[in-house]
Amino acid sequence: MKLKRVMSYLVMASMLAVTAAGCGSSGETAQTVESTGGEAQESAAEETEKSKDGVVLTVYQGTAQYTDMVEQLCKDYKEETGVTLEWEIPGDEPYTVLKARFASGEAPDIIDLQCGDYDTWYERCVDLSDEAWTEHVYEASLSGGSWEGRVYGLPYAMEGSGIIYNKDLFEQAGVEKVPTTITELKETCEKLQAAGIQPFGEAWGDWGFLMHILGIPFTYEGAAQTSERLSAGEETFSDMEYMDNFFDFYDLTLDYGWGAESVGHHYDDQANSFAQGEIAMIKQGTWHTDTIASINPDMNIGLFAVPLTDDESQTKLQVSTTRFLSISNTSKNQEEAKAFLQWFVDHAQTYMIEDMSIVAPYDTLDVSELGALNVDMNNYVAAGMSYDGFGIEEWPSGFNTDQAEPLQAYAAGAADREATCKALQSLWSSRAASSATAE
Amino acid sequence: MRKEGGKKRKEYGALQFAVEAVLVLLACFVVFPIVLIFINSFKSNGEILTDMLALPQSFGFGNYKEAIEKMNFFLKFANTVLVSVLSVAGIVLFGSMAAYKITRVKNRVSNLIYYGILFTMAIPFQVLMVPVVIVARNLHIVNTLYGMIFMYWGFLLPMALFLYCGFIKGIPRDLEEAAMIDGCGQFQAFFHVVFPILKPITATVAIINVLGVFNDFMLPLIMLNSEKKKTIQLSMSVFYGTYLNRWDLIMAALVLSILPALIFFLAFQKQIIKGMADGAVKG
Amino acid sequence: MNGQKASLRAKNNLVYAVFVAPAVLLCILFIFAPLVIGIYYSFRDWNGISVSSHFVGVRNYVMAFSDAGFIGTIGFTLKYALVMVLCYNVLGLFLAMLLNMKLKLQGALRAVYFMPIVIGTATVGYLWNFIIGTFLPFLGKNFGIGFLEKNWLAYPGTAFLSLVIVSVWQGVGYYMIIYLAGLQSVPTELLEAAEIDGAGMKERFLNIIFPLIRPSVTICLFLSIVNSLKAFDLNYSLTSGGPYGTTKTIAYQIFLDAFNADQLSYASAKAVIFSVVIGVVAIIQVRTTRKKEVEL
Repeated sequence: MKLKRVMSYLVMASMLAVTAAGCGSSGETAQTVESTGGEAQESAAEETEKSKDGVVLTVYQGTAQYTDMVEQLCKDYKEETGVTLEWEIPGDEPYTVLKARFASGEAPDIIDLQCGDYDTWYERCVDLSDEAWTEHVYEASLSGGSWEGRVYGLPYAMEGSGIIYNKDLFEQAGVEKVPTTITELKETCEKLQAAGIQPFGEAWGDWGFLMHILGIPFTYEGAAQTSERLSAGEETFSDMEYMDNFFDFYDLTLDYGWGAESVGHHYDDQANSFAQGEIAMIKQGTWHTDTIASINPDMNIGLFAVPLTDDESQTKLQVSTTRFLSISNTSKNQEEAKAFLQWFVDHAQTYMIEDMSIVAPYDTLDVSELGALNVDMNNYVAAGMSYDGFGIEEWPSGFNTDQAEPLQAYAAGAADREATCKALQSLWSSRAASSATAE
Repeated sequence: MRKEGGKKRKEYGALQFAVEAVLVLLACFVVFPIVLIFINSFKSNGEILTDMLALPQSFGFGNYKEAIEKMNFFLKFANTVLVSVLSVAGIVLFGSMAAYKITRVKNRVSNLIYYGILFTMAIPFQVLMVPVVIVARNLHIVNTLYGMIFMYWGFLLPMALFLYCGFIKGIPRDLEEAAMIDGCGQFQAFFHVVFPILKPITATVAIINVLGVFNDFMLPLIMLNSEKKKTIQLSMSVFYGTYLNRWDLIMAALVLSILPALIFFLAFQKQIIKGMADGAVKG
Repeated sequence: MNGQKASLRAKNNLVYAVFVAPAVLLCILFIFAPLVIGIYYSFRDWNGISVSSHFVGVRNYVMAFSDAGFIGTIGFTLKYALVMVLCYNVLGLFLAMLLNMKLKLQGALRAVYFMPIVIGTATVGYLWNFIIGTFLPFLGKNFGIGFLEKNWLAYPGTAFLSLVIVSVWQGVGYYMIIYLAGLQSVPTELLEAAEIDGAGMKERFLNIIFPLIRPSVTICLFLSIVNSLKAFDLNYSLTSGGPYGTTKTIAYQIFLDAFNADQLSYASAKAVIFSVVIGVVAIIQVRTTRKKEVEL
């Protein structure tokens, strides 16, 4: 019987360890900050040997788009300030890794987030409202990185979402001007097809691009109000004003593209097909500049706004500040991190505009030589023909990934418009309900 | 007693030939994907996109050189080998010891442990991903290779225990009892007499786990944040995400990530298959 | 006398503890402790990001049982597991029986069929993504093979088929080896004697081979059931659960809920339900098949 007792002690001891672990982590803020602080110091100390000043800033960026620029930037920053930047680019699963990092107490100093993230992530970020750079960031962009009036994120990429087209193929098919109504878009498709060119080729296998197009009817109707009405149950997807127009456009991308197979295509193979001149138009955005240039640097391309209706005045480009840098509130190097953000704004001309050809939304920059897509975007903005945001900013958390399934089912012919709207609605409602109770 | 004049079963006849032909054809399909990426790993990006079936215009190791540099392959390889070897050593040691007592001492505790451990094999790892980093953080082992080794011990022990228990059931007690009558302590009896008998199943356990740890992706993903501590599979995934349009580099990196395990397998192929077989049947 | 006995027992218990403790402690620390934490969160409303969370009772469990999406993934997982258990065991045993014949290339063939196992699943996903998404359509277009031209990962039926093919490609060698080992322990004399007595192929298989390879059957069934029900890797790296969620397994759904949809607590509740179900299935399976094994 003694054995039993020994075992029960063992089990008890380990259960104690377990509960201790459970409690420590269950979320008393002060406790969390304290214990992680200690660890951050340790790991910083471990890195000290490498760096003269002993400061290592870890940066976690969710997209691999910036890899080449980052290498140069880290080198230059180290030379100038002595601060080492450890810039981590995770490839897949940025949010999985980020959540694990916070849970493990080894959160990076600087994290990369997207607009729409701040309703949840603000709890993990340092308030940046008093930083000097806030003066130079466009008001609209600043709001994407804010929550309840406080600034938590430095916007660093302003992107336009529209249709990228191959100018040479357009010319070959005898298309003289970019379509500004849905009827003209359809005519363009027909002309291209008659010339033996595949008009569209869409990567509807990726939820992110479906999210962009589903946002368009929101921008037409007024994104924030529409989202609010949907959440309050005052409106449904079926009665959204431009939902039918949305489906008309979606149909065009399918009928004149890869059809049902579009849901098997992704960012990379789409970019390859487009850059090799196999398709004339892709629904993407200014973020594609570098990708296309890396495959086919001399390509003659442009960007135009998605027309949903026959009213030209509604055909405006969706322009949004999509990416932000924030400082995690568990960071031991908050002052150094703030200094880096300021430096980044001061040097945005070099790294964002010249290296990356991406517009950063600061009034200090000269954006005249940014590549065709950005020039087209700027023309839309200058002419007052842009929507502020992608229409997705006020969606309930989680809906951005949810929406892909019903839309893909529609593309595959497994559901009609009505059923798709119903499916979208039920996903929206359950997300809206669960985020309401969480507050 | 074999009957004389019975049908000669061992002869190589038409049936055997037909079966062999079919199996060889099937084998070609099995190796084809690997051969395909191997061939394409020597081509330029343009060559890959224009014709995937063609042989490369020139055999050069340019892609490999670039991929090795960009991935820092040899460091990642060293990390991966270190983690795999030490993880397996612990799994074999702790697994065999525990399984031995659980099987030999029949009581409620043993039963509880056996079924408890069987149950843990049912838990999908994805479920534990966040809680486990919380535990790791309280133990201060986040972002360390040794911490990850401890965690593999925990995660992979159930399977090892299960296999060891099955095997130990089938070996008679006579030898260890004789050893103990000769004055051996229980530890000596285990390590000198029982452990050597476990060799076949130890081989099985070691092989399964070496491959499992070597090829794991999720645990390194959530546990390691320093670039210099990363493993091959993790670097591979980052690489895949970073060089989306560089099929030449991706092909080379794919081959690099397969190669170590493949060489290990081909070198010890006979022992591995025999080890797997011997250990598994009794499991 | 009595005292001596007691001290011997105490010593035995201590030795038992030393042998068993490391394994038990490690499992408790890295499996049971996280499980307990997971269960704790399943009764709260943590999104995985916030610094605080609240107790919500069994809300997450109630939600899970009324969630059509969850029920759908359970259905898919069962279907996938059924197909995979059949494929692994039938094909594995069949291949093993063929390879158990006296063949010239026996060793080489065995090695080739086993080989894909050594490749990591993440890599397998990338590799087959290239084959199915890029290479097969390329073949289809250049050689006019119609059914290859379309992207298999774009349609639910062919995506499922792709998943099954790649899973078989990767895993069947493992089961084959275990069955082969079992088959080699079947004495040839017994089979020859039966043949002379006039037993047909079917009878020999059912009455002699099958009972004797029962241990192999037990372990193969157990491994294939548990692994297929827990399937995650290829659904993640090959199909991403697509097209439109038709190849989402429970493990993958839980992963998505926890990390993409910011519903860690809800995911934990699903995970608890799911683990209990598989655990019960696994234990029942092992208990029943173990009893039927023939002692040699």
